[in-house]
Amino acid sequence: MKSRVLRVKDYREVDVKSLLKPFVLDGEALEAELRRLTNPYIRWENGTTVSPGDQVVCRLASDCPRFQKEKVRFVAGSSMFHKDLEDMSIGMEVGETRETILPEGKVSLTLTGVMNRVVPEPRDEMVEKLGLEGVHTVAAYRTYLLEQQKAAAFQEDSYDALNHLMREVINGSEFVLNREDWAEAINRELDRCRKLCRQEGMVLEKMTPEQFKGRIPVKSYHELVAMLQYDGWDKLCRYLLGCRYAENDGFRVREAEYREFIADYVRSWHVSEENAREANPYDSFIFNEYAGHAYTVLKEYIRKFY
Amino acid sequence: MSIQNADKSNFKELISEDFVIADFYGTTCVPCKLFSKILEDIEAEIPFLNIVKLNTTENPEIAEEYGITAVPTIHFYKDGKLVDSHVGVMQPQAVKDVIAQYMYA
Repeated sequence: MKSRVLRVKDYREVDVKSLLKPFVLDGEALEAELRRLTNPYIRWENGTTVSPGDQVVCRLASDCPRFQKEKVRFVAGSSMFHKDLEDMSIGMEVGETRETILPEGKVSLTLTGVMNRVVPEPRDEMVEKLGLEGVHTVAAYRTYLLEQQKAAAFQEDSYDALNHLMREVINGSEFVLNREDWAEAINRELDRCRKLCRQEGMVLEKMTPEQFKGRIPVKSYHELVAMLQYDGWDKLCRYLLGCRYAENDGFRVREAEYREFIADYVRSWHVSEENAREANPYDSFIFNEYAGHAYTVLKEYIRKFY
Repeated sequence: MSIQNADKSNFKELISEDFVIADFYGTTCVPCKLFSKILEDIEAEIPFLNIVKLNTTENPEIAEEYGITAVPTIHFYKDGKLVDSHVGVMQPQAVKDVIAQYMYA
């Protein structure tokens, strides 16, 4: 490749703090995840009185066929069977009968059994069984969940800041960009799309807007070429930046990573290894990995401010 | 536990009776993992609900037979008949709405 980078703008000179949204904890989601810890330990015990969440077994009698049933099982308060009847069952004792008037007619409900839902408090041994490295207590699990939530929020909240930073670094750096390298990058991607389409029985150049829908965000082949040309310069810059960063931080992409990528692709897309390799040639993989590495480096920098 | 992992040898049998939720998922699919948690929550709430999970990565022939083109795909069966379906993650209340509509019908 004849293209090269002459000078790289130091990303630490760019202010990204103002572009980052502050992290806001979703306490409800955190508590829901903690409650999930106890799911496998919920017990159902034979009981005598119905409380919300309990399993109810009852006999229904009514002139309405829908409510003429010998054995019905529902969860009290779930509203999945019949809200009024479920509400009526709450507080009933086994053997007790209650009646209500519904729009469909009079319904009598006799409670024949109840299983009380017993939810234990989260315990350290429940956390231990999850097998998370370094996470052995409920307190540590809470911290772990918080970190997970923060990491997920960062993925979303860092998008604008990351694009801004990348733009600033590219604009502030000096590159020698060779037209042939640019054309090669575009043609490589076009060729990749062409092979993918052929594997699905289509001809890229003749694809209709319907065929593009859900596959590539364009409506025609010419739009696709224009999109790749437009992005080509920046992608070439990102590749060169990624290579430069890799020289400093030791990032390397080897054949083993490619083999792993192909194996994942085969599993995910249910294609043969031959088709996976055809759609993802080694040189495309390398180019994309180094271009992606530029993003990774900048993202790690932004993370410090989140 | 009412969540059962199916394969090509038993999938049809597992969806043939009563009301069944079939979750078609992929091994590396992140949204599938999210939906899996939602199903586990629902199972913890309604333990007598029949939930069948099928790994489409390991059972592509079943996925093809049932027209699964994306994961997660959720099928709702009543006595073996497909009564509702959804592609993508369903929120808990949406799943419960379908249960309410068909389980006691």
